[in-house]
Parts: sequence; C-alpha cells; structure tokens
Amino acid sequence: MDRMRGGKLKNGLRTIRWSERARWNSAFAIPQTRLAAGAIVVCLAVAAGWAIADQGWHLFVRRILDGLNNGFVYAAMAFSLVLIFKATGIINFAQGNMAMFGAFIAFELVNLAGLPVWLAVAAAVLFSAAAAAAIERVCIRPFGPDNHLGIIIVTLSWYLILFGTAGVIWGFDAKAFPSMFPGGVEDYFEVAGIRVRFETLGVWIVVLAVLGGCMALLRFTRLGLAFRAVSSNLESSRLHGIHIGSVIQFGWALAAGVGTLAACLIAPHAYLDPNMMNRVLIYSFAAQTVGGLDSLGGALMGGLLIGLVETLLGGYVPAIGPEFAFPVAFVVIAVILLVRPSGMFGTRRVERV
Amino acid sequence: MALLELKEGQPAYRFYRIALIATAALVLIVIPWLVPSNASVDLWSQAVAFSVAILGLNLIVGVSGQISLGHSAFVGLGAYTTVILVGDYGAPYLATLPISFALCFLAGLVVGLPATRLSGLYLAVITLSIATTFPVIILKFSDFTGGANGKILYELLTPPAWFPFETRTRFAPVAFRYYVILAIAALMFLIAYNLVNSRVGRALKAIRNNAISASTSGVPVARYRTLIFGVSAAFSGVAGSLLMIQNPLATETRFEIFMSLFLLVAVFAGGTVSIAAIPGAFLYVFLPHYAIQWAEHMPFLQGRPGAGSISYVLYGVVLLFFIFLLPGGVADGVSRLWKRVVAVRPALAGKFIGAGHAHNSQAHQSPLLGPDTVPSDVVRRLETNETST
Repeated sequence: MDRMRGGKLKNGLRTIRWSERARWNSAFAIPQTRLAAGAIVVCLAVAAGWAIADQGWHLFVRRILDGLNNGFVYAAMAFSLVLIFKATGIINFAQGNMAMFGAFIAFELVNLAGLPVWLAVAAAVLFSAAAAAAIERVCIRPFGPDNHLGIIIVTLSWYLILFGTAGVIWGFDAKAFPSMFPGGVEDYFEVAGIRVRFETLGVWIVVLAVLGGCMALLRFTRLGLAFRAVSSNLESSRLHGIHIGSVIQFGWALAAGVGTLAACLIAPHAYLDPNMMNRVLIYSFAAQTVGGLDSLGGALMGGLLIGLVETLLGGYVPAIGPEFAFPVAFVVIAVILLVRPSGMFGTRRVERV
Repeated sequence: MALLELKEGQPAYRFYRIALIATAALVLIVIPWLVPSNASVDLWSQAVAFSVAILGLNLIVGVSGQISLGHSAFVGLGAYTTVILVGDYGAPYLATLPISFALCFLAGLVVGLPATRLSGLYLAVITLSIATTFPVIILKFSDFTGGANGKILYELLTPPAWFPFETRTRFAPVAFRYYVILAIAALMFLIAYNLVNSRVGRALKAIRNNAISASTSGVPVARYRTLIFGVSAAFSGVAGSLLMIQNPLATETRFEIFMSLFLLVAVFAGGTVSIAAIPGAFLYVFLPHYAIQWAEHMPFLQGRPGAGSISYVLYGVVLLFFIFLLPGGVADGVSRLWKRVVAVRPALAGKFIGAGHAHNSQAHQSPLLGPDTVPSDVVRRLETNETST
C-alpha cells in the first residue's frame, strides 16, 4: 500500500491504470481465494445437478434466466452504488429512492405528456442525473470528505424526503409501468424448447450496454481518468490540479442516471410505488458487498450472483420459498463481510495511525 | 457573562444539581394532570417509552460513534416477546421486561459480532438488512407471531387497588401505565448514565475518537464494540416492551425500517449526549401526530391518499436542518444558552492548564464534529511526510 502510494505520487496518473488491472489479477492470486472459489463452484455444480434431476432442466434453465434478469437490475443498482462509493467514500442510502423518483417521472412523462417510453426513460435519466448533481452540490459538498457519518445522515434524510414526497404526490397504490420492450404474451423466441422473452433479453442488453459504456467512459476519457484519480487518492489528485468537487459531482450524476435506468427496468415487474426500491436496494447492497465495495466489475458479478441465489434458493428450497429468499441476501452480506471484508475484487484497506 | 457562577464540589453546586433533577422529575410526574385528555397522556407514555429506545441507539451513535439502522428490529423483538409471553403464556407484563432485555442483549451480541471486525459503513449495511428482514420473519412464522393481522392483547396492565387517582373517567389506568413506564425509563437512564461514566464508557469514547490508538493503549476494541451493541439492543428491547405496556398491539408494520430511521433522526435532533433522548423522543412522537393534523388542513394536501407521508418529508427536513445548522442537536443548543445563565467551573480548572476546556468540550461532543484532538490538516501533513520519505 505504501509503495503504491509513493509510486502514484512519482509517476502521476498513469499508475492508476496499472493498479486497477493488478487488482483484477491479484484477486485470484491468493491461495485461499482460489480454494474458496473452487469450493463454491463444486457446491454450485452439485446443487445444479440435484436441481436438474429433481424437477427437470427446463425449469432449471428458466429459473436461471429469471435470476439473471433480476441480477442484471441488481448489477445496475450496485454499479451506481459503487460509483458513489468511489466518489464520496460512503454508501448512498438514498440511491434506491432517487431511482424510484426518477421512475415516477418517466411514468408521468408517458402518462401526461404522452411521450414514447424510450424517450420518457431517457428524459427521466437526464433529469435525475441533474437532480443528483444538485443534491451533491448543495448537501454533500459542504461536508469535508472525511466526515462520513455526516454524509450518511444526509443521504438518510434524502431517503425520507424523497419517499415522503413520492407518497404525497403519487400515493401508495401500485401503478403499472409500461415496458420499454415488446412484452406481450407472444413476444418470445425459442431455443431448444426454452422460451426467451424479448423483454428479458432487452434488460440484459440495455444493462450490459450501459455498464460497458460507463466503464469505457471511466477508462478512456480525461474525465474518467480524473474520476479514478479522485477515488484512488484525493490528496494527490488535488495536487495534480483536478477540480475535486466537479469530478465527484459527475460521479453522483452518473450514478443517479444508472440507478433511474435500473428502476425503469424493474418497474414493469415490480409495479411502481414508493416502496418498490427498498428490496432492490438491499439486494444491491449485497451485490456490492460481494463484489467488493469499490469494484465496478465486481458489482456486475455480485449482482448476477445475488439474482441467481435469490431465484434458485427461493425456487428450489421449499423451506425458504420466494418470500423468504430476502433474508438470504442478509446472510450473504454477513458471511462475506466476516470471511473476506473486501469482497471478491475490492481494494484491501490498510490504515495507519 | 453568566448570571450565576458555580464551582464543582461546592455545596451550592450540589444543591443546583439536585434542584435540576428534582424539577425535571416533578415536571414529568405532574404531566398527566397538565395535559387535556387521556389520549395525550398515552402520547406522553409513548414518548417516554421511545426515549429508552433512543437512549439505546445513542449508546451506539453518540458514545461509540457507529451507526445502526437495525434498531427497529430490536424494538420489535422486545415488543413481540412481551406480547407473546403475556398473551400465550399468561406472564405478568412487568415480568417480561427482564426477559426481553436478556433476549435482545443476546440478539444484539450476535449482530454486533460483525461490528467487531467492521467499520461503521459495513455495520450500517448489515443493520439495514436486519431491519428490512425483521417484518419478513414475522410474516413467515405467522402461527407464532400472528402474521399480518398482528397480535393484540385485550387485557391491559391495570392499576392495583392502592392506586388512588380515579378523578376522571378511565384516568387511573392510563396514568398508572404512564407512571410504570416512567419509572422503568428512569431506571434505564440511570443504568445508561453509570455505564457512560464508567471505565467502559471512557473506553468506548476512546474507541470513537480513534479506534486504532485506543487499541494500542490496551482497550479491547472488539469486545467493547460487541458489548455496547448488545446493551444498546437490550435498551431497545425494553423500549419495545414498554410500548406494549402502553398499547399492546404488535404488527410487523410498526417495526419497519422507517422506525430505525426515525429513531436516528431523533438521536441527531436531540443531540448525542444521553440525556438528549428526551427531546428526541418528543420529536419522534409529536411531530407525526401534529403533522397529520396539520396536513388535514392544508389545501394542497387535501384529498390525497398519501397525504400522511408528509411526516416523512418533515423528518427528513428536520434531519437536514440539524445536521447543517445545529450538529450538536437540541441538547447542545439548550446547554449553550443555559451556560449564559449558570456557568459551572470545574474543580480542577486552576490546577492543570487546559483541563477545564477538556472537561467542557468532552461533555457535549457530537461524533459529527469529529474527534477534537488534532486538526485533520495536521494529521494529513504528518501522513504525507511519512509516505514520501
């Protein structure tokens, strides 16, 4: 850690690229990690074999598809949480309700203004990005970057404000949100006797495209480089002349946009009401924790894993059932934090006194 | 300057402290006669019961500097313990208090175990998922807990024959429940006061200010963090039992994540010193009560089905207000005003340079203001020097 920090000071921003690549490789360089990963794969294989033998492979594949569908949404939410974590160093508890609010705005744009769904979602994404940038400027930046407790409290108060405002404006009756993809009964194609719905495929493609786009933005543009520099070392990026505040603001805007998109993707299934993102938020926290709090790729992996675990455990273990799969996310978080606090791909933190 | 100056250890100072405590006790005791209706006495009982939960949460937030979003689950655990024991096993109400204390203490230890290894952020996530899991568990074991219908007791705690005040209609049982809750709350405050001012409390404050340097000074950080989480959960459990004494209706919707958030708002609004749990509890109980009444009269809210959720917005705004303008909470503001009336000089003030200042600042320190030992830019400068050499 020391040597890395010194190196960064000497060689400037170029080393950050190196350190991110090294983190991916080093995650599996530790023998215990490889052993644990192997054990998990063996367990999964045994469980999958049992599940196929028990209820047939058609159902199995369909559950995997369902799980991946949820998983991609969790991945998008977890991705936005990771962005905030990299920018401000905290977990944004208001992220779910910011996304919920954005989805409501898309809903109103479709209903009142009569926009096509795609356009409405795009407008809502832009709106919530702007709103998040404003929230960051007004409520987050006045706190010093080290005052984590203060910033967490601010995000909690925004959680309450957004939830209450949505409740006052739209009430608590669930509303049907129009899907962005052809979602009729006939809209599917068959591969080897398994129906893949266009809607499912659409969610996968959109999430992968957006996440890929964001990763590219962070990797190949000057702004992205500045963002990675700020998240890696605040002090030395300030010394390099990066304007910290606007870079962090950019992170918040990007995160809110991705979050709103995730909410619009899950809203056709979950229905639209002020409570809709609470559960998704918990699953996304679990995904972020599994992947490592500050790893963007880890968020994708973690989201898919949590989606699969939720659907398969809820489907195949009668004692758990779909309703009780929820606490499983909590158990996953607790176990991961106890065994490997930095997650699969997260940065290990070494503190000095 | 102050109207009155007192020195610690003087007889006048001792008299002043006793007078303060006696006044507070007197006000709380005569409250049932001052408020207009039995329903408002019930609200006051609720406020006193919640002050115990807020006190418990304050032991984590204020004293050990961590954050918990899961206290609604512990309040719920205590409440269900009381309701199930009284309803299904015929236990007397008061006998369930120690049981829910012990049960929640154990539950808190189990949840607090991760806290021993983790920083505040991870603890927040773990406790958040506990808060959201609790209602699911209640619904899952519905034959035991009553499920979505909740569990209601029709037999309330009734006053014994020697309890006199049958002056108004149905006043005596309401007043009796208020006094029972008040007495138990007073006991819990006494326990918390002694805990915070003991060896354990000092160790926890050291951990809050800097965990690593506390551990190098020989404070077992992990053990104390788990312990305080357990104690805090136990306080919340007792608060849940007290709530059931006031109104024995346990449903899973009463113990949702929002309760945790509101408790946290109350902690920060009251201030992070333990006695501040009282103003926080008033805010907790009376803000939504009056907000809903107020919302009924507002033209822009009328006819909206979700108008009641205006209180969520108000809670959020109150929280923002206190974080930005008065990070020490109500208690800090009041004590700063009060210092202009009565100033207390610590007994050691003349002997050690700076001792008086240290005494004053430690009493009302908010974790939001950060550790008050070394300015952060000094630390940063030290760190960068070390790394570059």
